[in-house]
Amino acid sequence: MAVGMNPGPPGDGPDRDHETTHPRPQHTPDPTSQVPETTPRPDAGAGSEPGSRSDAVPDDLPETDPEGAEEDEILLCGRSLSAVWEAEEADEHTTGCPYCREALTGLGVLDRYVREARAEREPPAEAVTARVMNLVRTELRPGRMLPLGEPVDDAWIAEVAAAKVFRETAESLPGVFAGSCKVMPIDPAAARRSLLPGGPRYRGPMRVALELTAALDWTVPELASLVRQLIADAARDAVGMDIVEIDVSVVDVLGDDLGDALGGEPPYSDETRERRER
Amino acid sequence: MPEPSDKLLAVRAGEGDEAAFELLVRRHSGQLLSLATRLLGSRADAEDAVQDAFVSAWRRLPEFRADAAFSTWMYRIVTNRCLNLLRARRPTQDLSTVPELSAPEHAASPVRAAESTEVVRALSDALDGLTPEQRACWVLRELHGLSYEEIADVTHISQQAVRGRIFRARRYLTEAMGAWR
Repeated sequence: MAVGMNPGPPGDGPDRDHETTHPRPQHTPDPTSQVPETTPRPDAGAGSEPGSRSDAVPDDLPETDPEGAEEDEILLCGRSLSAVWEAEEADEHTTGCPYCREALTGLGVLDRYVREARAEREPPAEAVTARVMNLVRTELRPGRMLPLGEPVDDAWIAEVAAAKVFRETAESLPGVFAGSCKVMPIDPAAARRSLLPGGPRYRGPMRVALELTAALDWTVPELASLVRQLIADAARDAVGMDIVEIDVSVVDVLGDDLGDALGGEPPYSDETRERRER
Repeated sequence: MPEPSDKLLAVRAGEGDEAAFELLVRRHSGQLLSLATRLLGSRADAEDAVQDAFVSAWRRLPEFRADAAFSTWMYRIVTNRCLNLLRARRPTQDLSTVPELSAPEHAASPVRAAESTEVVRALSDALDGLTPEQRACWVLRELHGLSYEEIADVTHISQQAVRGRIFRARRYLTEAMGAWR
């Protein structure tokens, strides 16, 4: 380990958003000091053997240098410690330079710990997931209340429940995921009013706006047409809702990375389309 | 079998689809729990921080802009929560008692003792010597593989400041870990 590396309280340069008196087990000479050491001591790097390094900055430099580089060290070869540590690969100089190699050896010791820490399994998260979802279910957001059936029925369904049915309907097709699904009065003013909590409930024709992510073997027109039909059927038969307009947009492609990696088959062949329609 | 993207699930969760949100929680909670444990040094505190972060995310999802990655957004919420906890801890601690305070944590936590190797515990102890901000930047970079740009985004500081913090953290840790050889 290089003798010039006093780990001393590592002051934090660029911002002043924290305490600077940081506890330092074993290393802090005066734990009550309000002014931590922020730079290596000048005498510590004065040796001439490989691994020594000179200090680039005087002790009295304020630790909150706005550039954040006030604590860098210049190795005896002239390179800065931070540059040597940040370089992705050793260059010709680094390979032959004892000072750079020493600096990298120090980092290598740390790397061993880093590799072990990274290899640790993620902690089991089932308990946290369950606790989160228990809390979330006490804070549901049902959306608008939407009319069902005839006026005399006075039946209503939460937008989130209707959207769930329509998303599942679209996702019954292979290679299709449903994203945003909004169900609202076709009259824009009524749609806005229906969002107000406790406002008058609107009864009348409704529209659905659905966004899809689809695999490349769908063409947009055929998918949109098919989904419109399926949703119209589901609205009538499964939900009992008067839907007069269904907007379907394909906003993303499913697994496009995979398609690129495979070199891509012709995505819109007649054969594919025929199969989908059966 | 393709899975729905985070982006799609976040849009659905923003519209009140709690099943989509549950998928997001399952997908990210392990990684976020790792992050919080590394930042706070305590599994119990980490679980509380991650739970609070997800509940906060559920409330804020209707305003979430889907052009930002959900995972980066969650990293930001969890990191900020952990930083606030770490900053709140520090003034209440007498400087001379810090090493003694951190030691019983390992002894009292059989789960952690069983799952962590000696090496990882040593690193965790060394991390206690960093400021909360240095610790966050270093952990995000070295243990979670975020780029400087992503860390700057998560911690709301410049990339230059991120580099400075990581450099100082490395310099401290190389010395601290070297001492254990």
